[in-house]
Amino acid sequence: MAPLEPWEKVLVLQEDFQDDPHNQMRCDFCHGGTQAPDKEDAHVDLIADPSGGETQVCGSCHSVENHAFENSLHFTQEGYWTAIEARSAPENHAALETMFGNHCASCHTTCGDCHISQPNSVGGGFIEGHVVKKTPSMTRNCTACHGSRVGNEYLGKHEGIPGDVHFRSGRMNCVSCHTGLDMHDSTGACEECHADSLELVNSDTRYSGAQLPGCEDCHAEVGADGEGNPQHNMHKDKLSCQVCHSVSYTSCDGCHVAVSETSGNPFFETQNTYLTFFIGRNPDPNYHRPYEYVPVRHIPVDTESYAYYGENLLSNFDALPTWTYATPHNIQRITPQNESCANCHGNEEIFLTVDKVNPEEVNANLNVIVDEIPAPIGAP
Amino acid sequence: MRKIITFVLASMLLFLAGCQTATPEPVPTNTAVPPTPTVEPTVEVIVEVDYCVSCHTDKEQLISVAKPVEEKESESSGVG
Repeated sequence: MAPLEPWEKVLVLQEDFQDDPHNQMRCDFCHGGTQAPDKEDAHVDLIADPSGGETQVCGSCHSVENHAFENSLHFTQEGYWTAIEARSAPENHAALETMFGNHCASCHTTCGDCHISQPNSVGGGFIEGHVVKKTPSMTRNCTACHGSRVGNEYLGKHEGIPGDVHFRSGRMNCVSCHTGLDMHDSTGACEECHADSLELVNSDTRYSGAQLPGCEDCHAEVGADGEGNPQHNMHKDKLSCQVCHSVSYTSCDGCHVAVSETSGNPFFETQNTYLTFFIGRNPDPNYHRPYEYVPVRHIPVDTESYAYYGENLLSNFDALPTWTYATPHNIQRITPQNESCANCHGNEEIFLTVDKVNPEEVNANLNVIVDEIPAPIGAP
Repeated sequence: MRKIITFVLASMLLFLAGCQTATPEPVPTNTAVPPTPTVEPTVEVIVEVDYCVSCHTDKEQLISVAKPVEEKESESSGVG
């Protein structure tokens, strides 16, 4: 995605914006600032993103969405903290908070980052001349952040690997599955507003609550009585859908973060990025995800990821696996796994066995490593 | 005694009669309003300029006041 010119980022397209209901308010209702012909004077006390920070002006009208969104992972970034706190100890949290502020906090998402502008990570700028878009742009909002893994897989940008069938054949974009309710961390249940406490979904990580979305939301017939595909009935509670219907996806190793001595800017280095497909054990089978086997992806954390900020900050590194539950976004109807029983049963190559794990990370991955692969079909 | 009372009452009547006006002033029922000179109204149209809109909808103006982009080479490497 080509970066926008500075003027282009802030050019209001009056012809388009005049029909937007938000145009009924004066600019300074949301943005503050000062009425003055000179740019510097006009920008005194300017609030560039009124939907972020303390003002959160969107909530003054969109209170229902705002109330739910304040608890969403896009807003709280709780997914990071769930992992960081599990792998560290309380005495290290102060240093890790500094690290987080330098390297992670910029991913915090505001209303404007999805509905008005491109996110800051790609330089910002209006999507369509300040028109407030009810539906975010797939490429300029969603994959602007979720590009290197989800975006590349879904759009088929890895050579030799087709894009997701939902994109290729269905021309579906992100919001076709990830609805506004999901994005605002709402189940749509009446109790969310008409009860004293919220029952939140996915408040700790994106896999902590119900599957939103779930494949069965559309494919309700899969595994149902009388369905024509016996494989679905045989495997439906043992395997997540992606075990049979996804193909190779991105894994990464060794991300380290630091602050540049020359520029003072935070930066990161990721040592390796590669394509894998490994079936591992589900580290946390539960009501929503009862599966025994799931695809696992190597995430780029290692024991020294935050070493710039202190020694042994991830002192409880083995608390979580480095090969993690994955839901690759490159779904195919036909895959190597589902072409033949023998492609999984008795095929050690496709499972995350101990020999494929970095010896220093074996203890962290004991609950995902497959010790005994499923026997070949027909074997005694 | 009766003569004294009669005298006092007579004096009071005489005194009060002196305060009475002879004929009451007529109450004006229809006051003629003197004509006022006709003044042409001065229409003062206050055009409120919204400087935010006028600048941010003007591409050329935005180009002229934009700060030059500082080319910063990313020090990060690898996939983020």
